[in-house]
Formats: sequence, structure tokens, C-alpha cells
Amino acid sequence: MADELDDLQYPAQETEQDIEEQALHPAKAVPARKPGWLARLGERISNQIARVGLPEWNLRSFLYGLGLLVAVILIARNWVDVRLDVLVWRFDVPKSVVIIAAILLGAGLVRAWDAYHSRRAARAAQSEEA
Amino acid sequence: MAYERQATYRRPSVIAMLAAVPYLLLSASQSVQLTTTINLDGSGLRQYTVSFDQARDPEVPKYLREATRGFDRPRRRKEAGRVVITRDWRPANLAKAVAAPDAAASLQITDIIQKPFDVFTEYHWSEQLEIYRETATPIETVGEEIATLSYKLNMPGKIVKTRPNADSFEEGAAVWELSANVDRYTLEATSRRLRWGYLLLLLYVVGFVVFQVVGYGTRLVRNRPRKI
Repeated sequence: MADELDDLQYPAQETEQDIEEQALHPAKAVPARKPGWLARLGERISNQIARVGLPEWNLRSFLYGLGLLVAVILIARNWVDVRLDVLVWRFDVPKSVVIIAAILLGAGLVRAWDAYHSRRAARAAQSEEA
Repeated sequence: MAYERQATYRRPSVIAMLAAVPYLLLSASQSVQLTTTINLDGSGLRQYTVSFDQARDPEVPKYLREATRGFDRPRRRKEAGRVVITRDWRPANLAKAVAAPDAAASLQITDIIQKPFDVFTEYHWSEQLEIYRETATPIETVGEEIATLSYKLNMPGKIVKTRPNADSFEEGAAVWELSANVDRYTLEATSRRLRWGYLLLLLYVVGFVVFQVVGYGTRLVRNRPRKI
């Protein structure tokens, strides 16, 4: 109780560390009037935009961008119709769509096959433990 | 002139898919349009669109079958007393499809391999079109000047040259109105397309190099020891 009374009468002196910390976070001057809804909205948007940081353009990002550009160019150059025969139906589809669909189908099949084998191995391990 | 008239009529022993049109198809129809579309990768579409009076129904499709052997199944629709049939063929490689020495058509593509420093890719299409009259009677050939074939050619990029001069251009496609009183036509067209893909790649690589050089130079200047 006596210590608490002392703290009230004699507040602790500011140390140099406290002063340095205060310098890192200066007090923000606030206007007397509350900002309107438009100003608050603008501030929120600008805060979001300020968070966006452009990636550094080093060799790695350059190669990623180059790969993306090459992919876009290949898709655009092969955007010509090809005729697909499915039983008695014939329809024209852009070649790029066919290639992408084939890649996705292949990847999906591999993924499903891998998942099936993983589950099978897990079940075999469980049955061995049992 | 690029077209000539022959005194004798003959029918080729094998009707080339790209070359022969029966005269009777033109005379019995209200309109016949032959559309050739050449794609970027050298594939193509060959399409006949024939419009005729309903009363000529069994006759005109027979002539059309002669001109379109090997084409896909025809599609037909009826409108206001007439019939419109469309039949087309979509080869994966148009140039290879006509690569035989005596072929009636050829496609030459001058790409980056042939001309690495040109910003345009050039497409050159040439075709000999024959109108044959083997079974047509003299009475039927009286109106041969009126019977016409509308030949429409779509090419990649912009068509810059046609021989003979095209009669009109529709949405970038060259259109010739070929009269049936001539046996054989030689049609040629050249188009050019900007190699935008390669230009973009070049711009991207050069931009990166410039960015790195400027950054290096800036760092060099900034870290230069200063005199106190």
C-alpha cells in the first residue's frame, strides 16, 4: 500500500530506453473534427493499397514471368479450331482448350491414382498393426 | 492475266479436293460460295455453301457431293422455299494436304525460321480452281456468264496482295466473283501478320536487362566513397 502511494506521488523517471521507444512511435496529431465517411473510406482504401508491395524483379521472378508470358503466347497462337469426332457428333473446339483439357485430365487421373494407392497403403498398414 | 480459257473440256481422273467445281452445280443453284480459311498454324477450313430452289433438291446435292468428296457430313436448312446446304472439311495441316507436286493449291508460310529479323510472318496462298463441264449440254452452258462462284479467302493478319485483284473485301477476307465462262482460275493472295508474341518476349527480356543495368549503376553511384 505504501509503495502504491509512493508511485502516485513520485511517478517513475523516464529512462533513455523509454525516450527511444517514444521516438520510434511519435504521437499522432488528430484534428478536432471527426473525419466524414468519405475521408474514412479513402483512408481505408489507401491503407489497403499501401499494403500492396510489388515483387522484386530478380532473376527468379524474371524466369517466372517469362514462363507465364510464353504460356500465354502459346495459348493465343494455338487458339484455332480443331474438329473433334465423338461417335456420331462433330464439333469444333479451340486447340488450346483441347490441350489444356488433356493436361488437366491427365493430372487428375494421376492424382486420383496416387490418392487411391495412398489409401490402400494406409489400410494395409492399419491391418498389419491390428 | 492470271486466268485462261481452254477450248477443250476435260474432267480430271481424280477430282482434287481443293480444285474442281462442277459447272452444273453453279448453273442449278441460286448461289454458290466457296470459303477457304487459313489459320495461324497452317490448318484450314474449306466450306461450300450452296443455296438452291427446293424443286432442285435431289439434283444439286448430287453435284455438291462431286465437288466435296471427303468432306464432312453436310448440314442443311430450309428457308423461304429454298434449301441451303453447307459442307466443310477441316484439315489439320492445309499445306501438307496439298503437298503433292501436281497439287492444285499451295500454302507457303514465311515464319521466324526463314526470316528471323522480320517483324511480320507472311502467308502466301495459291490455288488453281477448275470449273468442269463434262456432262453439261450446250443448252445448259448458254448461261455460263451469269453462273458465278463466289470465292472467299480468309487469311491470318491482313491481306496485302491478291492476284487477280479481289472484287471486294468482307471483314478482311478477299472475295472473288468467278464467272463460269472460264475453265480455270489461278488465285493467289499474300497476307502479313505481326509477330506480336516474339516482340513481347523481346521487350520483356530487354526490359529486364535494362532494369538490372540501371539498378547496378544506381547502386554503384550510391555506394561510391565520398570525399569528406
